[in-house]
Amino acid sequence: MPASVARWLLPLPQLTKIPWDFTQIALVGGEVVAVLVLGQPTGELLLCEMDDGQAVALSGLSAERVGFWPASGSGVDVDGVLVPTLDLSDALKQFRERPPSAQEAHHE
Amino acid sequence: MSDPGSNTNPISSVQAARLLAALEATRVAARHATNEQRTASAGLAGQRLELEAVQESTRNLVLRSRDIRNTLQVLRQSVDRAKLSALNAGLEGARLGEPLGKALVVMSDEQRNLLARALDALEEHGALLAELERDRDRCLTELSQLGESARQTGAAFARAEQQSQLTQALLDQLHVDFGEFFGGDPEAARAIAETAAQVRTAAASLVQLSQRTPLGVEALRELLRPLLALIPTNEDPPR
Repeated sequence: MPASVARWLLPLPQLTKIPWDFTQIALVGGEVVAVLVLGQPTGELLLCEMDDGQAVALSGLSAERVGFWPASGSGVDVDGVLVPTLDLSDALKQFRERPPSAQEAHHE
Repeated sequence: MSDPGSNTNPISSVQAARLLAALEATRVAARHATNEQRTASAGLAGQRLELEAVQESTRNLVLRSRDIRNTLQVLRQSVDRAKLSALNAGLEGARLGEPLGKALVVMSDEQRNLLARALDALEEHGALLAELERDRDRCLTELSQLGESARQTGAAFARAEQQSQLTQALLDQLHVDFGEFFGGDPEAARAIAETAAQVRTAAASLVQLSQRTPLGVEALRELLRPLLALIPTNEDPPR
C-alpha cells in the first residue's frame, strides 16, 4: 500500500457493527471512521486517507514492513517477490456497489 | 499354681526365675520399642509440617507464575505497540520520500527487526513458563500424594504406639502378677537364670571330661565337692 494512502497504524480499537451493513465503525482520534474488515482480527488497524481526503480504516491485516521498493508492474518488488498494490479506491467502490444482503452474507 | 517352695508347684525355681527374667527382658524391650515409636512419631510429625510448608511454597509459586505471566503479557503488548510506532515512523519516512525519509525508514526497519527478536524472546519465555507451570503442577500432585501417604503413616504410627503402650501395660500387670505368684524379685530371677545357664554349660563340660579320662569321675567329684558344700541339705541347721 502506498505511503500516500496509508496514514497511521494503531492498536485495534472497539469496533461497532452497523446493522444491515458490512461496514463497522470505530472512534479514532475523536473521529468516527468507517472500518472495512478484510480478515480475522490481528490487533492492528490501518488508518488510510483517500485522494478526496476521506478517512477509511482497514482491519484484519498485519503490517509487515515499511520501505522504498522499486515499482514492478502493478506493484513493487520486495526482495525479489512481486507484491501487488492494494487499490483501495477500487475495493471501496466494489464494496459500495455490493447489495446489503450480499454484504450481510459475506460478513457472516 | 502355688508357692515355689512347695512340692505341688508344677514348675521349678529355676524355671520360675527364667520366666521372671524373660518377662523383665520383654518389659524392657517393650519400653524401648514404645520410646522409639514415640521418637519416630515425633519425627514424622515434624516431617509432615515441613512437607506442608513445601506444599504451601509450591502453591505460592502458582500466584508468582500468574504475576510473571501478567508481566509477560504487558511486555508483549508494549513490544506490539513499539512495533506499530516503528512502522508509523517508517510510514512518515516513506511519505517524506527519498532521500529525506530514507534514514527514518532504515531506522524504523532496524527497530522493527529488534522488536521482532524481542517478541520471539518473549514467546520463548512464555513457553518456558508454561513448562515450569507443568512441572510445578506435577510437583504439587506428587506432594499431595506424599502428604496423604505421610498422614496415613502417621495414623498407623499412632495406632502402633497405642498398641505398644497397651502391651507395656499388660506386661507390667503380668510382672506384678508374677511377682505375687512366685515371690521373686526380677534382679534375682535374672541372676538365677544366668547362673542356671552357666551351670548347664559347666555341667556339660564336666560330663565330657569324665567320659574322656579314666580319672574323670574322681576328678569330677573333686571338682564338684566345694560346689556341693555350698548347697545346704535338709539335715543342716539353718544359717
